[in-house]
Amino acid sequence: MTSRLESSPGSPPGTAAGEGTTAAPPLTGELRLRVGVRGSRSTAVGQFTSGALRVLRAHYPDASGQPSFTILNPGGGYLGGDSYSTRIDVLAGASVLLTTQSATKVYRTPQGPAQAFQHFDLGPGARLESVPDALIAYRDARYHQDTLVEMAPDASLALAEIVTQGWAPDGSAFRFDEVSLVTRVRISGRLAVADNLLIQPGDGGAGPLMLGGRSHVASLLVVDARADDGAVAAVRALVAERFPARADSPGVPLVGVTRLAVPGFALRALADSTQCAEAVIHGVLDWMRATWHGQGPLNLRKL
Amino acid sequence: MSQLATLLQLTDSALPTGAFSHSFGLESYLDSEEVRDEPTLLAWLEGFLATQLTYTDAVAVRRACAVVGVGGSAGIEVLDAELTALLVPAQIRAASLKMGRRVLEIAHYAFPSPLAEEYGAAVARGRCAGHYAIAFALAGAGQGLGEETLVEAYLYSTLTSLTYNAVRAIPLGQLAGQRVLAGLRTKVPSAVARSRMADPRHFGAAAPALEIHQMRHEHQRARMFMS
Repeated sequence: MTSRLESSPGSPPGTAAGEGTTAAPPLTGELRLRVGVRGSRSTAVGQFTSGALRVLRAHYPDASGQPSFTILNPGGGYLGGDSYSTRIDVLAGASVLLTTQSATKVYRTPQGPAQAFQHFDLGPGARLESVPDALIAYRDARYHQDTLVEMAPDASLALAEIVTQGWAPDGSAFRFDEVSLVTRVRISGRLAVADNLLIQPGDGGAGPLMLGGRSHVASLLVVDARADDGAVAAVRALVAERFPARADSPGVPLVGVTRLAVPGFALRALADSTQCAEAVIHGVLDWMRATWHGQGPLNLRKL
Repeated sequence: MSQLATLLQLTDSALPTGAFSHSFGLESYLDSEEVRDEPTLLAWLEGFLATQLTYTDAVAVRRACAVVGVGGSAGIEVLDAELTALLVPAQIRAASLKMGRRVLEIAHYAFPSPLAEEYGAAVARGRCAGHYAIAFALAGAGQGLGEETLVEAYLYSTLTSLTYNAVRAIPLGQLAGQRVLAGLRTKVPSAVARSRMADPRHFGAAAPALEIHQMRHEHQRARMFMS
């Protein structure tokens, strides 16, 4: 990784604790972003990036005042031993859409797993939609992602993930070692959801209970006071209408939706293409946008 | 009382835990006919053993036993909350709680011990939700059964209930069911070992296709089972 320590202009000093003083091994890339309300819209009120993580200047895809931040990795991909840290603070009443510029690629990791730590803090009434591009794991790749969300009871969270395999040189798929995504959500400090997705292709991982012969796993975790039984029924109806799936129908995603122990739902989908996985996730995100926020569909135009 | 007799009673498929009304997602695979005969049933149960049973249930039994070892009821509360958060499909969470509370009730009469009573009291007070794997582990540990024995017993007895449920539902012959169980018996020791060596970060790791089927069971038509 070539780029080092670049502090973005406009980053107010002292807004993010512990800047540059950690004794842990140096991070490959680090991003800290604080978003607050200024007037009628949300905006970055603190920002710090270093190494192989950058964030593009916010843009406002619609009139809702919600900024879209695009994270990019100028290093081009994750390698063994890499470690990335992202911290996003969404202050009271603020709203953020996070996305990436392109797919996150994880290459061979003989030095140990590539690791990404994400910490999202959502204040009262805050809203975060995280809709990254797919994670593509290549041959012999091992990737560990730990996401910790601390949120207020009336905050709104939507975390999307899509995981797939890269193609090996011999044209075969599913040769990465392990992708492990651990997401823990705390509401007012109490553990609310622990979502643990583990894919180990060499360990029966492509079998009927794991991926059911599909190449893409998509997941959407929503924690929101509005996500009651009625909302889950509506999401289910929407999915059933658009993707009338049977487990044995090729090309049609297999989707499941369930209520969490707290207000919220988890959606999982297995699909055969990134496009199809995204169609499921975006369809549900768009439903929440329209129903809960009076907002238009996602517009993830890549800058 | 001999420990073997205790173990046999605790793992008896007729123990009224309600296991006979749960398929843990298997019924969705029956509905789609992905599981339809003896070979497909055996393959499904082997997959269930290698995924959810190993990474969630067996590890939960181990963690409960480990907490007993250090004598901390606070540790049981943490584990209980962790399981509620980890069991994402609603019917799987509900099944764990329904069977867990039933085991605590049974333990009160049949396997009384301070460990099981304390967990039962925490559930009654609302401090714990009452999960099956924890209740089973505490009921057994309270009778002096060791961790390795309890993990193996938990896995095998769960597979037994599921096999009997499948024999009714597919339906299969009784001897076919016994052949399936004999096949599974050879797979249980490696699952026991894998759960012992499991990376802590993999606790509760879900198998995506299994989870989707478990979620879809919530709105499946014509169900025999509650999960």
